[in-house]
This record gives sequence, C-alpha cells and structure tokens, in this order.
Amino acid sequence: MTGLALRHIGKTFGQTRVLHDVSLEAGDGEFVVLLGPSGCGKSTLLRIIAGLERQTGGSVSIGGRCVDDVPPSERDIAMVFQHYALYPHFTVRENLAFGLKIRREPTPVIEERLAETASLLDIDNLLDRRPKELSGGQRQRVAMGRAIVRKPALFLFDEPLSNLDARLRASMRVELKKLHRRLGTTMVYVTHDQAEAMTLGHTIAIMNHGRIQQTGRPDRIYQEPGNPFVAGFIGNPPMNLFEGSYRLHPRDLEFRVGDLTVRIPFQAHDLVGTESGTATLGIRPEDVTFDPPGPRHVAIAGTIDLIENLGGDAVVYLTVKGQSLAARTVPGLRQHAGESVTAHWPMNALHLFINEHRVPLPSS
Amino acid sequence: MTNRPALLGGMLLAVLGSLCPFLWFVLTSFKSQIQVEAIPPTWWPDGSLAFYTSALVEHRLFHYVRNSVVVAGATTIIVLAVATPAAYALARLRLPGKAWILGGLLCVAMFPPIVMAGPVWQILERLGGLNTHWGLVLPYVSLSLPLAVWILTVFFQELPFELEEAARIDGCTTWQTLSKVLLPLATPGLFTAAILTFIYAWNEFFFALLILTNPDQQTLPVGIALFQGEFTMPWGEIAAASVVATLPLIIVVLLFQRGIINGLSAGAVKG
Amino acid sequence: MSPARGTTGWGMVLPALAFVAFFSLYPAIDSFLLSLYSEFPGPEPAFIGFGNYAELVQDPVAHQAFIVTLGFVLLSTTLELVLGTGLALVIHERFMGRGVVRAAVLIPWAIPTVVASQMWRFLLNDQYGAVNAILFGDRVDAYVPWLADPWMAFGAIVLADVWKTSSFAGLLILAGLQVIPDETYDAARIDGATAWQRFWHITFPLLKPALLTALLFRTIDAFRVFDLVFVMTQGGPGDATQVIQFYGYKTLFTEGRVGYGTTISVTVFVATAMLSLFYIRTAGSKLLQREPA
Repeated sequence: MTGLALRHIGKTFGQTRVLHDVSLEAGDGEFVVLLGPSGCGKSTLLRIIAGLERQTGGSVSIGGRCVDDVPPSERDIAMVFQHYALYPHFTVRENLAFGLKIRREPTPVIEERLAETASLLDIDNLLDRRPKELSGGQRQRVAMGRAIVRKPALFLFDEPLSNLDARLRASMRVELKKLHRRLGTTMVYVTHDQAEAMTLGHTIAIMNHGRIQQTGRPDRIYQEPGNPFVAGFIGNPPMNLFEGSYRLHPRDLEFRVGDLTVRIPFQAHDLVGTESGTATLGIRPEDVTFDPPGPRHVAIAGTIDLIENLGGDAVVYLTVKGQSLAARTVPGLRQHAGESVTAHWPMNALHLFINEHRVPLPSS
Repeated sequence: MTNRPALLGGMLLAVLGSLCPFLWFVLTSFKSQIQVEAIPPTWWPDGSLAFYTSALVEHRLFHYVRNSVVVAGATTIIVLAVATPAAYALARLRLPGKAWILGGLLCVAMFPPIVMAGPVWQILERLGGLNTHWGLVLPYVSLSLPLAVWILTVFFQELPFELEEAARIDGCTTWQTLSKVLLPLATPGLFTAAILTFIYAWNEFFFALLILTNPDQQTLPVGIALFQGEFTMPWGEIAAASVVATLPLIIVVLLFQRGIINGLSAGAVKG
Repeated sequence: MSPARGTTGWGMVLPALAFVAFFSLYPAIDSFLLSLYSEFPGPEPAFIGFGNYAELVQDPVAHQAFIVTLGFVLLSTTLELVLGTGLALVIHERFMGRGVVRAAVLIPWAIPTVVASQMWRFLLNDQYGAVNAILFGDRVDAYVPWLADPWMAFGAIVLADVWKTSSFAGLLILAGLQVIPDETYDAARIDGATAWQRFWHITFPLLKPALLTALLFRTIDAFRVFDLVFVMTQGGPGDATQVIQFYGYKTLFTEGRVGYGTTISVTVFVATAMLSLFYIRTAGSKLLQREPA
C-alpha cells in the first residue's frame, strides 16, 4: 500500500503556472523530502497534499484513497508549520488537545494521547505554559506534538527547522530522525536546506520551476545527478559546471570550453543524437585534488585565487585556462594565493550532461 | 531629538492646553449660582452639588443618560456583530472585488451626514422610526460600520495565516476558526472598534437632533445643546450635565488610550 | 477554495453591505434625485432638472455660506496640522509619564462636540467667561462680547475646532512618525545634522504621507462642521458663521424645502468628493508605494 501518491499535479495562480505535471509516490512509512530553492513550488505542493490549496489538475491519494474532494481536516494528516502556528491564547496542553476536542474525541482518550505525546517529546513540564513563554526549540517540540497527538496517517512538514539557530537545527534534525523511526509514519518534508534533505530523507525529490527534477535516494542523487540543475544544487560547495561544446570521436568525446579541452573515453555514442553540440561538464570540488596524479587522471595547471580554510577542510578557488574551479581538500596546501598549482581529478569522477540530461560515462 | 527643555515645554503646553478649558467647566459645575454669575468670575468653587441635583431633578439628566446608554450600547453591539464577520471575510477569504468593498466603505465613511439626512428621515418616517431609539441606531450602525470594519480587517490581516490553516487541519469550520481561534486573538481589535463606535454614538448630535424631537427619547448631546433656563442660560446645570456626559469617555480614554491610538491609526493610515 | 467557503464569505459580508447600502448609499443617491424637484408651486413636487442648482449659483446666502465654510476649513485644518505635528513630536518622545500625557491630549478628542461647544461658548461668555477674566481681570468694562462680533465669532468656532481635533490630527501624524526607523536618525546624527536639520530633512519628508492623510481626514471632517455652529452661534451674528451644512440643515428641516435643501447637501457632497479625489491623486501614489506588497 502506498502512503501517498501524487498523479500529474498541476497548479496555476491566475496566469502563473507554479506546478507542472508533478507525480510522486511515497511508500508506507517512507520519509520523503521535497527540496528546492525558494519559489520552486515545493510549499505549494505540500499545501495541495494538505488540502489547503486545490490543484488545477491531477489527483492526490493518501493511504490509497483519493482525497481531492476531502477537506484538510478529514485527510488524516497533520502539519507542522514554518512559524509553528501555535495558538497563542491556549496553553501547551490546550494547543495539543484542540484538534482532538474539535473532533469530539472522548476526554480519557485525549488525556491518554496527551500524556503519551508529552513524554515522547519531553515536554511534560511545559504543559501549562503559553507559547510566548517557550523558547524556539520548545515551540518547535510543541508544534510537532500537536501533529503527533492526532496519530495521522501522514505528516507534513513545511520547513519546520528554518526558524531555529544552526546549533538547535542540527540537534532537532537528529531528534526528528529518531522520532520518525519510532512512529514509522509516512512523512513529507519541505526544505531548502540540502543537509536536512540528505540526512532525513529516504527519498529526495528535487524541484525547480514547478517541476520535479529528480527523485531518488540521497546518495544516488549526489552520485548521479540527472541534470545540471540537480548537479549544481546538491553538494557544498556546488559542483563545478562548465558549459561548452562536445565533438564525438570513435573512442572518446572531446569537450571544449574556451582554452580548456578534455578528452573523455566514451562508448555510449547511441545515446547522443548528433556528432557535436553543446554540453555541460561537471566535477565535484571534493573530487579535485592536488596530490600527485594517479592513473586515468586529468591534470591541469592553474593559479590559486583564494583559499578558504574551514578548519576540517579547505576550499581552494583557482583559475584553470580561463575557467574558475573550486576544490575541496584538506588544509595545509603548500602553495598560497597567487601561486600556480596543478589540479587533477580522476576521469570517472566527471559528470557529462547533453541536452540537459545526464550521459553515463564509463565507470572506471 | 533630545532637546529636553523644548520637549518639557511642549509637553506642558499640550497637557495644559488640552485640560484647562474643560477643567474650568468642571470647576463651574461645582459652583453655586451666585458664583457662576459673579463678574468678574470667581475661580475656585465652594464645592456645591446644587447644579448636579438641579440637572438631575429639573432637567431630567438621568433620563438623557439612560437614552444615550441605550442608543450607544445598542449601536456598539450591532456594529460588532455585523462588522466582525465582514472584516474576517474581507481579510481572509477569497472574495472577488474585496478591494472595491473596502475602498467603497472608506468612501461612504467620508459622505457628509447632511447628504443622507433628508432621505434617512423619510425612510424612518415611513418605518415609524422617528422619535424612537432604534430609528437612531439604524443610521448610527451604518455610519460607524466602515471604520469598525477597517479596524478589524487590519487586525485580522495581522494575525498569522498559518494559525487558520492549523485550525482547518485540526478540523474547524470557517465559523469555528473565527470564534475559537481568531476572535480570542483579535480581542484588542474588537475592544478598539467597540470603544470608537461607542464614543461616536455617544457623541453624535446631527442625526439625533433630526430624528429625536421628543424630549422623552433625546440623547445627552441633544439635551445639552437644547438646555434652556426660564430667564437665563443655566450654565451651572449645563456644566454639570457636560461633566456627566464626558466622565465615562475620560475613563475609557485613560484606560484604553493605547488601543484607541492604534485603532485610529489603523483605520486612517492604512486606509 | 471550495464554493461553500465562497458563499460563507459573502454571507459574512452581506449584513454590513446591506446596512451601508440602505442607510448611506441609497440616501445619498436619493438626495440627488430629490434635488431635481421643486416644492414650488406645490402641492406635488415638480421635476425641474437642474433648476435648483441654477438657483444655488445665484443665491447670495449660499455664496456666503460657502466662503465661510472654505475659510473655516482652510484655517482650522492648517492650524490643526501644525499643532498636531507638534503634539505628535512630543508624544513620540520617550519620557516618564508619557502615558498620562497621551491620555490628556486625547481628552479633547473624546469630549462630545456639543459639550466642547457649550464649554467654549461659556468660556467666551461676555460676562461670566474665563477668557475675559484672564485677559482683563477686574476691568469689567473692557470685557469683550466675543460671539457678538462677526470676526470674533468666526475665530471662536475655529478655536473650538482646533482645540477639539488637533489631537486627532496628532495621532495620525504620530502613526507616521512611528514607522520612521530610529537608525535613520542615528545616521543623520553621525552625519552631523542638528535637531532642526533632522526634522526638516528626515522627519518632514518621511512624514508627508501621514500629513496628507491627516489633511484629508481633517478637511473632510471640517467640511461637515455642524455641532459647533449650532450650539455656539446658530450661524450668527448675521450670517458670519453660517457654514454650508448649517444652511442646508435650516433649508431642509426648518424651512422644509426638500428640493433646495438636498441641492445644497449634494453640492457639499460633490465638493468633498472632489477634494478627496484631488488629495488621493496627489498623495495616493505615495501611500501605495509605502504598502509592503
């Protein structure tokens, strides 16, 4: 059984089309993250799942049931909002109980669920406070408690950690992961933070301009980004992307951007329509090294522009044949800014995109 | 600007200028008839309550107060009951043309009363509303609705949208969302709208003068404006009645000045 | 949203709209229709088109009333804006007892206009009034009958109006002051601007939208001045303080000339509407720019 299925969802606001034919499935108990830059439509998609917005096309099913004409309160969902949306005039206890009371659950059930949830989230001692007497992290817990207490079939999170400071965000991320393991409920989580997406999600759906760009396991998306947008969006610092032209040769492919030419062993000629054209070549900063080159490495001389020392590692920005290139490496490089250096990378770490699509390269 | 002496001077001037004229009227109300008619005037009253008793007994002051309480109270209750849902819908629900409704209300609030006076009088004559309290309450409600709707709309707009979505997911209907979640949070706004409406209805003179010609129904402003003595102006009684008419307002202002200031600027600046 | 929500929405707005339509909008329109009829020769009113308006253009009393009203509006709003700005600057400062000062300043606004009118009438009384006592003390023969002199009486209603409503103008201006961030002043101070320069180059330009709003509200309100005149002077002495709304009231309700009375009222209405439009056209663009989204 599926937890959630979105089929060909489209949405327009007036003249503006914000979602194009979005399809996505989440298995029962799966943690799906919708990741994308602001304005990509991820929050709208979440609100359509919740029933707060009505899609202009396509359908939503939750737990195998089509919910297109079901109001939010009857979709068996709970939502944690970006700004928590705690009712300021209620105590924590009343906030948690409100949804159950509106549904006319019997008092003993409410009491029991409340106690259960409060101890699960460790907010027992906060029950009689009002939201404004709570810290940011405590509010966050109460907001989650309000969702949990309802025992929904599906949890929806709208950037729930974005209002916390960096330290608290990291620890809440861990707690959220534990919570999901204990509850085992399907969750859909919207964020623009790739670290949250990579750590929390079983599946990540990357969105841009109202379309899903790629769906998959976090490591797959990192290792095999399906298009230049995903390649540039995932990873920190982002992947180096060169937009240039290619020409096919019998055994390899020649990529050219300005003065930089790279010849890549290539066999998948049938996947590329024409002999030559435009292409994007990518290399992750963490794949660029300054150690002595190994076999099947590309080596290029360049000049260091700037070194950012981050403690655990360092990011080196250099110029190679007129192109800028970032490299992530261990600190302690002998050369300094302004000096020349040889950068190189293994041939199989390259990512090639033709017509906005990934073209597989031989793996070793 | 931290020019302390100038600030202090300005403050003193503002307070004295605002209060002194009325203070003189208050003092007058506690004088005796002889003191009021002294030339040149005496400043300090001998603390007589004669004018208050005379205003109550001979000029039926209590009766005017009661009429004003009924009219202003009824107006306030009806305005709140009508304006609150309207403001909620205008602030939150998707209604086509709601910008036009809000703009239109503001325009109507600017109509000079006299342009409505004749036809309103005729309508009330036909409905049998002349010389009745409800006949005065109807135009009062209509005239104070625009400001109340504006104040409340601004208030509802400032409440976070997420709260309502949370309420919807929790299973509230539109009316439940309004009554259980938004109204408790909008209490300051309701209060401000109520106070401003009450003050308006308590002070209004023009329509009251037209609609209530029978002294039995007249409100305080009409009573005070038409106070007549047998031979001379009954200044002492007028002063006493004025103090009675103003005292509740002064208390309200002292208690709720912050809300009033915010409400007035919400109605005006965002308009 | 679903259609059900739409209907709920209209259901919520409808009572308010009904009230306003029935007791404000319809009467205003009806006034215009009534103004097209004459009660002469009677008994049934006769349709005379814009005949009443033609009469109004010729009516010297109406001319006088318009001039008095215009003078009243110009003088009182100017004074109120100046005093209101001063008041706003004072209340905006942070000091001990600011709440008390704010409340004190609000009291004239809360006092019923009728009470304020009686109060000023008594203050300006030729025999028992405090104003004469303060100015002339024991020299009783120097006492001035303020309200008996045309110019003084006009001055008196302006004074009473300014006293009563400067604080309202002040509140609107205060709201404008409060949106000017403190940082702007700090920056100006670092740039070496004096207190006066800060007012003239920063406060005043940033305050313009609020000043225009206050001007709009005060002008419209001053145009419909009635209570003050009714209580303090009854339009006298002569026609010196007969403002247009008072003249309209007398024509409509004392003389019972419905057609001509509504003609006056519609003219007042059109005058205020045009004035509002003019203000909104000049100020509106700026006000809209201030709106965040």
